[in-house]
Amino acid sequence: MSAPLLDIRGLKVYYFARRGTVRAVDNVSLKLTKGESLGLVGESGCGKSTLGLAILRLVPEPGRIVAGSVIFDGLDLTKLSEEDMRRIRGSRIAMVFQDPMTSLNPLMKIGEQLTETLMVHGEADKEVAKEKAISILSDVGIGPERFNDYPHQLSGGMRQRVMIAMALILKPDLVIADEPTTALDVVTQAQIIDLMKDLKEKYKMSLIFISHDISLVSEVADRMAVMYAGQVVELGDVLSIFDEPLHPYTKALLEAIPNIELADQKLVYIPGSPPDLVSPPPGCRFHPRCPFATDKCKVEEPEMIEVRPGRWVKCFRYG
Amino acid sequence: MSVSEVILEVKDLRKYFPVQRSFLERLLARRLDYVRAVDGVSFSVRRGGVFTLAGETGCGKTTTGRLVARLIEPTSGKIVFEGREITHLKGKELKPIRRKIQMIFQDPYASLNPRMRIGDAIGHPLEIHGIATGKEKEELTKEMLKRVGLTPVEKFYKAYPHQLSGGERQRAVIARAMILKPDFVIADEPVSMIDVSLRARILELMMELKEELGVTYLFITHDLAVAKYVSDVIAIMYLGKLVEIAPTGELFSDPTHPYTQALLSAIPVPNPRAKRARIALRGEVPSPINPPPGCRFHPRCPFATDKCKVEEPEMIEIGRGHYVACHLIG
Repeated sequence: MSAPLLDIRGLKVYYFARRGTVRAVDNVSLKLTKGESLGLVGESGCGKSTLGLAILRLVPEPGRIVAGSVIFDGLDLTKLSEEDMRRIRGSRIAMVFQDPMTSLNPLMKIGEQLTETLMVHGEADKEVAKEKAISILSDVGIGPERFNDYPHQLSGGMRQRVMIAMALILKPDLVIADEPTTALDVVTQAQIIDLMKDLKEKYKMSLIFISHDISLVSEVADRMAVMYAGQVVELGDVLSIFDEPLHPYTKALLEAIPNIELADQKLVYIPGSPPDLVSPPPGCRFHPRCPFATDKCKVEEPEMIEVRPGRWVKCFRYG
Repeated sequence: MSVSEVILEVKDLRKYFPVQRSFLERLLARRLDYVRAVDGVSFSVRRGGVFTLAGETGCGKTTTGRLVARLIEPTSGKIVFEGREITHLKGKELKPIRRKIQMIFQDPYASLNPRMRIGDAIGHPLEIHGIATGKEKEELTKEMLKRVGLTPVEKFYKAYPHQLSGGERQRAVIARAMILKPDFVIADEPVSMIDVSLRARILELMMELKEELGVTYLFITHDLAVAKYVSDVIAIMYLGKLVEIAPTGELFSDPTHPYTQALLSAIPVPNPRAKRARIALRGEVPSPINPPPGCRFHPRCPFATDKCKVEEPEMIEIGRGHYVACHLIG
């Protein structure tokens, strides 16, 4: 295997809030190869969005990366100057957020926003920039007649298409998409997901797809990482995790999703609720909700172990 | 209590909201524009069942729920509850209906007063309707807290909403709706803000209470996968109109309206091997201000004919309890 495009090692991101230190991302290690798409799955508050933001060093105050490294194409992003980091953002790593209305400038025509991005990043000729902008808009399914529209004139689905165009226009190596379809209806969501899959092939980019919806992740990602309470608890290729979930949390999560293709599925739920990350439980963080928890789980934290090549799990039942 | 008794009947219900305009625009406009949020909806709900209204954002499902709850006035049409028309009841006449019809909203953060203790919030309806006060109210409230799993009861009785998790808050909202032992509960997206690991428990609780109290649900959701677990009958709504009504099993095994088919095919399935043929729909939902003539779905329908562009299809029964409004059928 060639050197990974992205190598996250022992990353810790804490929010130093007034009520205490929120350990949002607590010792996460992940690798991503070129052209690969990784799904980051977990429920609200598990740290998946913070992890995405931390890669781009965009964690909002009072959050801080307190330990670990994010090595992107040989560079440790956590050590770069703010100026160097700004050059990476957009041109090499781009982000698509959940809510396009807050990420687009409401006072600027969408075509101008795209052209400006190109010109800020070194495109000198305005006409060339405009041509490129029109071409990328057509790639995301928006005709040139929309070039002079303002964001509010577009529907939610179209705005998200513009966001994707903005992310792709500088041909980045990596796109991080944080719940890109959560604000959309299912029919529009399906359109955007299909679009992202096509563009991933066309632009040969790597993708980190962050979502609470494991079904959606299974459509887009090659591999996935399941997060719980600030940590990755299972990692592997999507097919094998669905076929044989190893971590009790992953297993329960899969059984809790309603599947319209099954005739008589009994839905399960996980007792209790996810812990407060100011004071996560000792030992394995899932132990208070785990049906298999032993005394050991209550005091000792399991290591992430590789059960089979490429299949990682953080649970004492496997080693 | 017969199983097949109709508890609620809605006939040709409409709600048009006037479009807000500036003073100058109003002076110059020849006519007022309306958002036709609900535009001629008819259905009936059987006692003890779960009737689901499903559809995408802006289809009018929430407005329909609010009309049935009599929170807003309909533009026209009829709402018949337990054999009595309640469409235009007001004041004193409406109060007993308010007790019988309760509502559970989507956002448990917004539907609890942040300055009111959970115990007071849940017990409040008892006082409003003159059922219980003081010690008796407190006892009934604590009983309800226990029933929805908010234990230790003493702790939750005195807690404020911000001290509860999202799941606990939704339990409190359910408790408040159920304390009056209503006959009919309108649940508008009750689990969409709840994480998937807790969702099944909330739905299960709602279904247990339905059995214990003999409640009928009007369930409103955008999530057909969730609807499948709780509903007896599902009605699919598009741009202010119902396009298909069917018993739950049949809707999934034999979806008939092209919109229903497309909607079902768009739902992500937790199975990476499922290579499903997705029915791609053209464009997006048009504006309800000037909805397309004929069948409202025709501009996006892969099967639309000339007839669909001019003539509106009637709702026809194609099987027992299975209704479709489409020119392709019949």
